[in-house]
Amino acid sequence: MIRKFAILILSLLLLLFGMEKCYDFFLMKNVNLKSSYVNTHKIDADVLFLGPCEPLWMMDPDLFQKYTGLKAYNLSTVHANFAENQLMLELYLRANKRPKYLFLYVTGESVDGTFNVFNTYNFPQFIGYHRSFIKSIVQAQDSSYIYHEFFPFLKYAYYNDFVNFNAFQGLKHFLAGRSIPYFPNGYVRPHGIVWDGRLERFEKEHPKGYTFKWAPEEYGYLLDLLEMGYRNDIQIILYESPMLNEIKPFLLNRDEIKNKISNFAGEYGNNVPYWVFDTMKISDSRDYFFSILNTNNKGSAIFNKTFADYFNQWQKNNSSLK
Amino acid sequence: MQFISPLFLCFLPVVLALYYVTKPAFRWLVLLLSSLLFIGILKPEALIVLVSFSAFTFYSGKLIQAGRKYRTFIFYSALVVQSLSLILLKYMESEQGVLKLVFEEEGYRADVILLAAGFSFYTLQHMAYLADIYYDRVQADTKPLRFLLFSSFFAKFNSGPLEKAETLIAQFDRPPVSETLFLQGVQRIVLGFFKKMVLADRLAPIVSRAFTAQAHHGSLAVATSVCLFTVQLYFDFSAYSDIAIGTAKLFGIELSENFDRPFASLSVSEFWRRWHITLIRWFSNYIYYPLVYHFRKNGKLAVITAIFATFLISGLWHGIGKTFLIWSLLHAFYLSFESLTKNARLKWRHSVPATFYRAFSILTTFLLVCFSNLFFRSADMHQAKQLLTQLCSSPFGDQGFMNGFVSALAGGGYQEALFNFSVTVFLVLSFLFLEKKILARANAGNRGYLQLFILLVLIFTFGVFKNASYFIYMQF
Amino acid sequence: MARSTGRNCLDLFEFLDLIFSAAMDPILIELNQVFCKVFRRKELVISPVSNAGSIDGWDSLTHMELITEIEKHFQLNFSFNEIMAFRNAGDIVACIEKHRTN
Repeated sequence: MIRKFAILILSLLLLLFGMEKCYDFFLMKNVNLKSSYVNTHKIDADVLFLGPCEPLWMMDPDLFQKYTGLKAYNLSTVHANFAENQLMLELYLRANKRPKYLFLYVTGESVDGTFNVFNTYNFPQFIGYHRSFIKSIVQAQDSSYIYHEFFPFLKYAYYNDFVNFNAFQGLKHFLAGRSIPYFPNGYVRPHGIVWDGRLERFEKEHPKGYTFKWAPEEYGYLLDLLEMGYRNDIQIILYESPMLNEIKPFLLNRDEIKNKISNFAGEYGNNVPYWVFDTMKISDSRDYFFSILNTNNKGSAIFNKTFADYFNQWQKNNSSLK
Repeated sequence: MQFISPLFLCFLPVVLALYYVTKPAFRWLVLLLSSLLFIGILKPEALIVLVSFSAFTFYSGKLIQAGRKYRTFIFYSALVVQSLSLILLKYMESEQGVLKLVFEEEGYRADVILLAAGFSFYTLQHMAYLADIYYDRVQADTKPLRFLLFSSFFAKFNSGPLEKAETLIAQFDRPPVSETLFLQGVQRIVLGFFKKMVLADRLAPIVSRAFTAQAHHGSLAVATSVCLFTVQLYFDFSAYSDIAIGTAKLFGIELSENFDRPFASLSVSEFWRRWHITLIRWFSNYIYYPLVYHFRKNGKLAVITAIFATFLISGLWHGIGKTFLIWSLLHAFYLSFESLTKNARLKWRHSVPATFYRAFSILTTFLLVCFSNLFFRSADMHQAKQLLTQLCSSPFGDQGFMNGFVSALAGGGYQEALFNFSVTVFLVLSFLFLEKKILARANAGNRGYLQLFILLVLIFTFGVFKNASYFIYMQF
Repeated sequence: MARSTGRNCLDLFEFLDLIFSAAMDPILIELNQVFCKVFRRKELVISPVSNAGSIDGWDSLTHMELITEIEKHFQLNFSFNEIMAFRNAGDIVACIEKHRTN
């Protein structure tokens, strides 16, 4: 019995080890997996957009290029906090030339610590490689997860509802020799947009309003991002896209947080600007939004133009100052 | 301590090693100390509750056996104390809103659950023990520590199976050491892990979406989710039972089976002979049959009254709330109907083709049980009413088959969601189709190595590891 | 009570047992009549090993009805403990014999 059990366990370990290596390989081949794609393909954009869902579903690099002439790429990932933003930038820079500009989306939610998260399932294929830097961020954000590395396949077993499909898709891409992702410039145009009811839920949950926290674990990573920009000679620009005016009365310390972000970036980022687009007419109407902070295609088209124009003007002012 | 946890996976081998290096005469002591550690490690207060109630029951049993004049008084007093404690616990749970929170993915309030860990189950076993002594069916146990082990035995502590004291205690004293039994134990444990992590926990978010109305489900999606809840509940609880039975086998101890392929039932009464067998046996032996026996001269009326009384008490045991009340009343109605129409249905059975009869009966029974589980699962009457309204709405919620049904169940129309949903459906259906063979192989012991290997690979590939949830029946 | 499988026919051993027992035990024959009456099937044949699993319609819902009829027919009263100890028709026959002897 002991002999049979030993054979069983050894076979299992071998198979799991083999599966782990296969998953490592195929996840890196999946061009729709942004973390793998930016780390293995030459994009070499002049401009990067970075942040969670708001820039991911709003900032269209093709439109930006049309209005400014600069090649852009949208590096944002869903629901991502600053730690994940930093990891995405790190992975991008290991395979691509540094961009001239990086537009980082920052709003009250970004520094609060309770809205955005670190989505570990985007990065298990990197654990084991690039050990020190990636591991340190993953360990800080998901402390117990890093120990899954020591048992074969367990790092994938833990997130198998995400990685199974991605590995399978990676196999498909590998067999087909695919090199272009479904969203080639990183921008994900949202489809089937209906009003998501988040505003109503927010008002119900916080009838007396909400006070954002200034969370150290969040602005610590914001500081790391600013330093990363400085080290790599990337001009980082913080910005906040339009939000629906209906929500503003419920955000009790919005102005205070805006000023804190602005001062923080100015001081620690060495004069990094913070652009807040909160006076646009589209903010008055739900016709341009599908959620509190997310514009629909109509609203996004208008904002992309406004943003690009603002950038062009800023660039002109900056170069004339120099 | 939870079965599905790294702590238990470390705890079990250590206890096994200690058990087998200890002399056979003292192995029961290893089990006792391990059981007390198992219970006390997360919540020492639960240990105090257990030891107190075990001592109370043990010494009540001795007094009932010894006493002539006061045995009836002692027996009924002990029953009252135990029943009131159970009712108080259920009240505390419902007051704190702990009930049903185990279903929700966001979390649960663990305090009352952990404090009362196993209480509902070992209290029933204690009550049965005292009743058997009172009615001269068994002799009172003479060894308090053995009795404490019976109450606390970690393999069955959390949620059963319910065992008779004399049957289990006899095994503690002379457990057979058998390689086949050990292998069967490993097989059952792995099968339990598979059912919980791969089947039940993959179904949980699908069910949860319908019950928390996160998506705009059409009536077909709601109906499917309600049915899937019954399947989820089966996998969840039978997984626990498999792990409990398997764990006991590792120590050479046989616990009672708790499930016998309930979805193959041809009637609701048969369903209750295949689902949570030990609990239903308890209710039958100590509530239903005594009532029917005492009022048997009243014929069918006695049976129906006993059915209602049994299920109302069962509903109360599960929890205090209108939804549990409706759930229990529904089953009482189902069984009463079956009792009153037994002969007519038998006649009908012999007049239709056997295959048609089987298919029709299995489907009807399943749907009736699922409908009652709508109330069992609903947090409150408001949620139940909402679901009933949705059941009467358009089939796809005005969104077509893909969006209104498939995507709604899958949690989105994205390829990833559809892929995961398809995998879940495939695994669930395959398992239900092959269940008889899988269980037979798990109980065969020596021939099950390949199945063991496959189940382990499937657990790693498709099991839910993060957000590991409590077993549903731990809340009762 | 064992679950009902709906089986109406006997296997070889039950059949042989029935022939043998019927030849030896008039109580079983009488008991058979009660079974026929309760389950409304004239053709029903029981043996000492017949239980709820082998007789259609015999389960927890009808068990007490059957016991009541048996008590009426044989003019006796079973105790609760005796009823709970019945595993098959043979147990019932043995219990009736015990009552008659006493």
